[in-house]
Amino acid sequence: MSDELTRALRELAAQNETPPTVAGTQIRSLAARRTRRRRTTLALGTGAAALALAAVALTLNTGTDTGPDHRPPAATPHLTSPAPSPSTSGSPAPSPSASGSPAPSVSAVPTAIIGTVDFEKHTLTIDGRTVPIAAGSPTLLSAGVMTVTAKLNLDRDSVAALPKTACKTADPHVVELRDTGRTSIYVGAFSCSDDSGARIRLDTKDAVWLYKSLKPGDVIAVVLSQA
Amino acid sequence: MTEDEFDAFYAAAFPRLTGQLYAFTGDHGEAQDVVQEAFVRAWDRRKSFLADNAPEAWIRTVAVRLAVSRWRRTRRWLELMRKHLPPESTPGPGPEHTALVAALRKLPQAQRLAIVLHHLCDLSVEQVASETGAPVGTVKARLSRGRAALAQHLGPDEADEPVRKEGGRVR
Repeated sequence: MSDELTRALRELAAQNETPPTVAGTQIRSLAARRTRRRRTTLALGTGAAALALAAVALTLNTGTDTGPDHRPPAATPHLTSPAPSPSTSGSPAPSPSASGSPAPSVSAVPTAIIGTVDFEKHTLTIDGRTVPIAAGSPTLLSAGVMTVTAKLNLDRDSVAALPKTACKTADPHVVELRDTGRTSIYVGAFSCSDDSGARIRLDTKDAVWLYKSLKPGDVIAVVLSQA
Repeated sequence: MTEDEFDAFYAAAFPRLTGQLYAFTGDHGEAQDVVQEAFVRAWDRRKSFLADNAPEAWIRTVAVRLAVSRWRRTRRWLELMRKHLPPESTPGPGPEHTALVAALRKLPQAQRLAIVLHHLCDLSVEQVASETGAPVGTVKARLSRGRAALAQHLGPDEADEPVRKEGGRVR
């Protein structure tokens, strides 16, 4: 019976063999599409994890962030207030309406972290595009998040941290970020005589792209180097 | 495995595998679907696929699992259909094959899978056990019961043979 069964089954299988209906290349391209999709999902998952981490970091930071000026944490002000106009951005003040009250409910996580500045890898990532940081690793920063507080035009605005005497600007467009400790960081295409301080230098085209990509109120995660 | 090698392997193995999966599922479309899907997964996960020494067995395992999970999903539906439809009279294969397909379909899925893997795909009882996650003794019982049931279903001439439960012990 076993041998007969084997024989019968083999015949049955042989008679019902079907040639492939799609070519091998199509199989491979289908598989490649699936790999890409999985990578995207993975990236999104990592992003979500980073967001959760940043939220935790924000909660921890703001726990001690009761400075003398009682300003709200960096991540919250511009969600409710309009962007500061360029004319006042030399000393951009967060929303006056919130100035009297300390951080509101911190658990209300900033709407979205749209990018990461990574001082470990020296990269800046916004909306999935990653550009190298040409120079600058501010020592004043704390890990967590930074908020875009202003977009400046150095032809028009003067910034104390970017004196025209010491800094050459390849492009006048500069983005100002602030961390939870109220430290201002400037990002743009400039080169200053000393590379220390609160500056992140990018290539000119990257700086222009960043200037266009960000708007005041956007939140960026900060990853500090371990060194 | 380069792209060309994969394509050649696909062209060579696809017909064989659809034949085997047809014996298990009893449905041409289903067999093609799951084999094709298994090939897509093979290329998608080349690392684990290539780590396996028997690529064809890898594909078959994946295809069988796909067929099983699909089968579970559609079992209820199939039961309903069988009650309402007359038995399929597929022209083409000889009557003995139609009978075999019909008999296979009547087997419980676990028995059918054991029969197909052991008698058609030449897997040892131990391999069938590891493939299906069942103990060796269970696989032996399934094979023996499956064979007995097939013999019964496959007409009087074979049913006349005594069902040798002990003699039918597998290697």
